[in-house]
Amino acid sequence: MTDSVLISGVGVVSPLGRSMAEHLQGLWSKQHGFRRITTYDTTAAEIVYAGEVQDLTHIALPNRKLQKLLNRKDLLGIAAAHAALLDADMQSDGRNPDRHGVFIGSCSTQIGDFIPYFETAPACIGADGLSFDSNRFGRDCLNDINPLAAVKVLLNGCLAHVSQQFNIQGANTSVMDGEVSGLKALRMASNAIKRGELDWALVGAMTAPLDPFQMGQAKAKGLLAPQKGLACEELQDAVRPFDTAAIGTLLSEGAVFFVLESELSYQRRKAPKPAYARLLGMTESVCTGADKDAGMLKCLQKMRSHLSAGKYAPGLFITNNVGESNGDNFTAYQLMRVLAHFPAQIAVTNLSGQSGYLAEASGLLSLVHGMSMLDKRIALPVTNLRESSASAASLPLLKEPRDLAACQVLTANTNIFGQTALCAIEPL
Amino acid sequence: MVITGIGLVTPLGVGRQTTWAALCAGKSAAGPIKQFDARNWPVNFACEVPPFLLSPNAALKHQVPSLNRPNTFALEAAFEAMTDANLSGDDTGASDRLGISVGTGIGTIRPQDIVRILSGHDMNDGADKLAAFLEQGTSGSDLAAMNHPALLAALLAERWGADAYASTFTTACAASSQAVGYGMRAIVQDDADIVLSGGADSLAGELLLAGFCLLGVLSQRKNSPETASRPFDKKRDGLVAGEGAAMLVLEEREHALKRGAHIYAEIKGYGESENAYRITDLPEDGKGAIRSMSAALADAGLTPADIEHINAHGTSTEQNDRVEALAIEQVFYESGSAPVITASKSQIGHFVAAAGAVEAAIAVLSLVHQCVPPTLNLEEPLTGKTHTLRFATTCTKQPMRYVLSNSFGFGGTNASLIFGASHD
Repeated sequence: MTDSVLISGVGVVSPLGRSMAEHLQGLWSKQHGFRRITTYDTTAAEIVYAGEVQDLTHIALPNRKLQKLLNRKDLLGIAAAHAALLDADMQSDGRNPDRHGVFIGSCSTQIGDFIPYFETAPACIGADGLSFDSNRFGRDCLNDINPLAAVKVLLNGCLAHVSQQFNIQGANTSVMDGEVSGLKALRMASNAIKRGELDWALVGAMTAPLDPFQMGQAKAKGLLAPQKGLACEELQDAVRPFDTAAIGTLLSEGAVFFVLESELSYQRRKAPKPAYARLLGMTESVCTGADKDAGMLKCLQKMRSHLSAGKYAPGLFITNNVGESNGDNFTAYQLMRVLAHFPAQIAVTNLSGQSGYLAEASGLLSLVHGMSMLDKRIALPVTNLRESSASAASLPLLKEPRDLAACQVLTANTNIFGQTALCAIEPL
Repeated sequence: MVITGIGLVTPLGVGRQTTWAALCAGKSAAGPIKQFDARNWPVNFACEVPPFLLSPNAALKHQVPSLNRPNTFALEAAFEAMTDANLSGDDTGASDRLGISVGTGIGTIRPQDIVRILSGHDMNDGADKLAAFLEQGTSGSDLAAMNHPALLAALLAERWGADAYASTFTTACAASSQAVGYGMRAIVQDDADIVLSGGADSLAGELLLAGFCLLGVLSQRKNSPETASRPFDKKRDGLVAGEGAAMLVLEEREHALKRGAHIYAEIKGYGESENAYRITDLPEDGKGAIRSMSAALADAGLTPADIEHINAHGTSTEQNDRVEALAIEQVFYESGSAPVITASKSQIGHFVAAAGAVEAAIAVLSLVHQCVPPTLNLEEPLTGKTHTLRFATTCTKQPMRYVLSNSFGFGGTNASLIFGASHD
């Protein structure tokens, strides 16, 4: 049993870069990750920009033959998992594979993934354009579908591929709870390590929403910032979390993986580089009643009650809202309710303006940002924040970079179902 | 850790008592597919849940229009389980000590749903036109929401005021066993006093059935559906699609005793592993299954000799049953133990993400009734390498203290649960 769990490796594949170094370089040099979509044909589309990961062919995959079995989310996940293992110097660690685990917070297989099933079947569609002849489909069309289509839509595809590629045989799971998925996977892995079942675990989350169906759904919900007539360079300040001029967001794809390790394992293997941070605590809650903004508050109260006296002292809170007014307001309301539980000098920031809406992967990405800010001893301000919106006016949002002492960093995600997960890390 | 409520919706009937009676009577639920026209499909039979009306209090009124087929099963099973546990009264408002832990799949998107999304688009147009059409976002949002894997946990949390936490496991055939295992751990680590845990899925709809047809894992016995699912039989030729839901109320023992709850059984241990092998195959040496069962034994503080019955994953596919039999022989029979094995899929088919919870519930009922339901169609049982494996081919009465339930997921996740007889 161990109480101390470290983040000893990080892999990032994001619109800002195909490695953690590239991503952080882009972050600190104030670049954004938005560019013209190339994963599908946007010639006739209105939405032409998103946070797309560039040129995945350059990503070092352990087995290139795998690519035909992988959908986009799994490809992103494997790339980030490989990078995290390399970063932690775990690539040659073939000992005790049953002491190594994998925990994935995944995005869902998308409706668009099933359309290839039915592209073969126009003859089965009735004259009314709505009915479907199932019997004819089963008789005439099934044989025209590539059997690999069934493997590609597996919800746990990333878990299966990662464990196979890296020979990880211990505790494992794949969870799918929207935006809280990544932090939830982190918590499950941390608990498995604390129970003594694992020496280390790969923990990751990925999101891959760049298909026209999902773009359409996001647009219909009013999530997306208008793009018509904009040049790519003008997207620099398109996403403005907490800002009075916030007009929506851009969808992004990416994956973030950690190697989470017991301190004992880390010391025993004489890891060649310092770990990034210690996982201090994680909590979850659900708000099913009328009190919908209480999720973060309940998580913080649980965390405080779980930590021994004096161990709770956050200095930086990174939120994951993305410049869409409903989400921004909701986050602001939640934050207002927890301010009394924060030290007076806490800084609140948000960097979604550079990376876009990374959904399931956003919580883990915020932890990467937090570790980088702790390393540089500088807290970055909220991206593109000029004037706080009414709901965020009294929040301690960072508008300029600030010196950051060693402190605890918190981040939280809430999904559309009212589930919240909160995570705290601290420097070593 | 104890189980204080059980709810089942299976092809053998709605409700745990109906299902249990049919299991013990040796009934098969397999028959021609009724939920769509499958007459000329390569496989046209399955184990389907019979039509039923959702109990009035199983779902909140506004939830009903958003229920897909498996989620309807799940809400009914949850209502039965919570009522069984005496937790369905009007005074059970939102509770920060009640959690949800479920295993789910990709839902039941039907071809006509996709057709509806594509309605108005000429499929002969190019990819650019299709993209432009889809990004209009004019239809399909209800379909995406209804079939989101996380929706079931959210529905259950809202219906039952479960504010402690809600988790959705998506590890295919191991998903709901993991949901039960992690539900148990959530109580151990004080996240909740009670967890409503289980799973729901349907393999009998067009989409998943098409996928499994493509993978070539379904039995081809069209002329005799009731003999098609034959786990551990030498003449097995594939699995039979099934559907349904199971929900278990897991509860901290003292909490259950304090409120005077009926205790079905104890949940003694949970183990899991990953095959780290080919995505569609199992390692021939059964190492993943062996590790999963061994880990559950260690977690329960038991030895192989303590396990008197195994509810096997037993899919009726050539590889699973051969490898699982090998693993069971190695863990149990090699150490002198000889648990009686049964495979519930012979009667109800394969529920995929819900299989683990359903079979866990059946294992618990086996303990309660001290009776192992039969494996149907087991005419020529697989033999072990050096031991004769004991299969229940009829409803077998025997004293049991501990039983184990296996689930091995497509993609490599293995999960094993151990239950113990209640002494209360």
